[in-house]
Amino acid sequence: MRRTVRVPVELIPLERARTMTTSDMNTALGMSVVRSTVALSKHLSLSNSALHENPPSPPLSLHHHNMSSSLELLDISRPLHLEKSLSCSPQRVQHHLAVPPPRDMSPYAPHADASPCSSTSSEKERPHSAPEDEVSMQVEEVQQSTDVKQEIQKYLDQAFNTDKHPLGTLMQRLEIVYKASYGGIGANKYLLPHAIAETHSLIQRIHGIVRILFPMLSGGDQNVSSAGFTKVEGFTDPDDYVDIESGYDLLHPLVFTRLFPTLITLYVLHHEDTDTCYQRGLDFLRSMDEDRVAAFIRFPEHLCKRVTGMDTDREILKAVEGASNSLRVISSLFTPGEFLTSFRNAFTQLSTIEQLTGDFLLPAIVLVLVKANVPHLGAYLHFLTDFAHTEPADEYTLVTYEAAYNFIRQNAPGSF
Amino acid sequence: MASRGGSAHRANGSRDKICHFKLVLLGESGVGKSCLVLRFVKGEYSDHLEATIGAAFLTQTVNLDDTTVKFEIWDTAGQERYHSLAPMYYRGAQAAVVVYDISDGDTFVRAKNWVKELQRQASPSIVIALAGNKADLKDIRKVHIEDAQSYAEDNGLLFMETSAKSDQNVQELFLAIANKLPKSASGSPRTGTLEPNVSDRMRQQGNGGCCKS
Repeated sequence: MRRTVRVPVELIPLERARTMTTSDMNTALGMSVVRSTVALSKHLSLSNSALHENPPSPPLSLHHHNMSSSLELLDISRPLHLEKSLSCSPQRVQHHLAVPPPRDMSPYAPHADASPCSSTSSEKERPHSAPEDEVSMQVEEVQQSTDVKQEIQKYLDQAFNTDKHPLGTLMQRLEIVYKASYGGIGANKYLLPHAIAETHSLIQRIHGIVRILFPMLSGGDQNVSSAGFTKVEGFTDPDDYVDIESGYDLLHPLVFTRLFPTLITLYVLHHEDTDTCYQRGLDFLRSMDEDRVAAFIRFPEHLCKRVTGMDTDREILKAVEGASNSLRVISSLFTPGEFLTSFRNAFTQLSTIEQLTGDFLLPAIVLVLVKANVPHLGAYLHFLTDFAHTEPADEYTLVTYEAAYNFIRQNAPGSF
Repeated sequence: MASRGGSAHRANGSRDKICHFKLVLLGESGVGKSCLVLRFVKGEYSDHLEATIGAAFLTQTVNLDDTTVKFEIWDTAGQERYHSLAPMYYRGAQAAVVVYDISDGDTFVRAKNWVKELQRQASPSIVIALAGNKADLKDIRKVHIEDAQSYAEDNGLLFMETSAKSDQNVQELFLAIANKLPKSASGSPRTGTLEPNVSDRMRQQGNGGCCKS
């Protein structure tokens, strides 16, 4: 069902893009605009033809047709401010850390696909003189990539939110088509699988376009993603590197701002029955006093008193309150990343109580859900399983919430 | 994603194959599931503890001769009330450790039920280990080692009496599991083991399956 529209690399003039350096991009700006316009329209016409196999093709292909013709009229504004700030980054590194300068002029400049990998790999191959050097270099690498990421994010934010930029125009029109296809009066739960498939496909194809501007944002290229945007949280084990599919990570906020309301409506419709059941279970548990709830959910006995506030030690009560507060905000979020963060935050809050074990965690999450009283949790969880880029630990997190959700649902009066 | 764990990334230069396995811990609450796994993980590398999920989700690496096995250890809630939710946890697991307390006969009965359920519902190739924990409490033993041993043999389980407190047989247990796990190509890559689970879950929810349970 899910079509993988991976942009064929040979159709994007990456080779050409790779050979360009920042300086000749600045001088030959006019030239590169032409190149990139050609690339964009090439790519769009490609997706256009690929689309014909797909059910939702009529509105989209029409739309894409419009897009590709309008591209000829619109200038692509290059990320000029970005180039400027990026091209000065090597000097910054040199100055602060006395790290040998990377081979290339500007390792993170847009269109310099090969340079980030080569510079980083050269650093990695270098015999490590002292562990401190290594650590500080890693920190700096992460820091630098975060900087670059923020700059790109800033550029994309602006591009996506103005109708002067092709990406902005594209997004605006896609939003209209998407809303017309799946939203409004025609919204129906049977549209959900199609909407999911189309959202995935849209993100992938927009990612393909954005990659023309920022080739190092590759989702699949291991070297590039590890050099640029790999998330490292104090781990040195290479297996703990997290491939966050950086490009998608950047795109999710931009795309889901527009599409999320329509999409989540379908999820909500799809989970109407289960969520009603869940709500009934929540109401049932909320009608009990806290002692009974704690006993009902088999909260570990030695902590029961403290969670009901009978004890002088209020810390655990505070932790549960804190966790439920971080869940309450999820109704106002719209990107998978943000959802995951707030789910994780709840765990972090709870971990201040005691060593989190399975025996404690699940009842505690049930209690937190009861206190947070979040409607439509089933819809949100389903949305996350579809769109979040999860690490194994996140999968555990999601399964725990799902288990708690099912527990509350199963214990609703009237269900069996 | 496909190249995750590839040799390009290995800092130590070793090109061993790394196999990822999901291991789920089952057993009545209070039998020391978490202590067992904490002893296993903390025993050697205390800094590997992840701060966010504490002891409920841990990873630990075991080095065998030719391969490196990385366990992702999922702890579950042992309370009877949550029994029906366990399938969500052991879905897609390649290994399970069923823990009982040798000083409490009921927990052994419960453990047998877990084993039965796993054999019926979990993936057919799952490696099940039975662990009689709290072996340091020999004086008040209720479950005889012979009973457990013969039960394990009848059912093809790995069996050991362990003690998280005195660090008896803990490493050995996990090492035995690692040795028994098939290191075939199908189980090893991350993408091969975990993504099907996610899509299973999605499919199940997509069919509205969860509201009928």
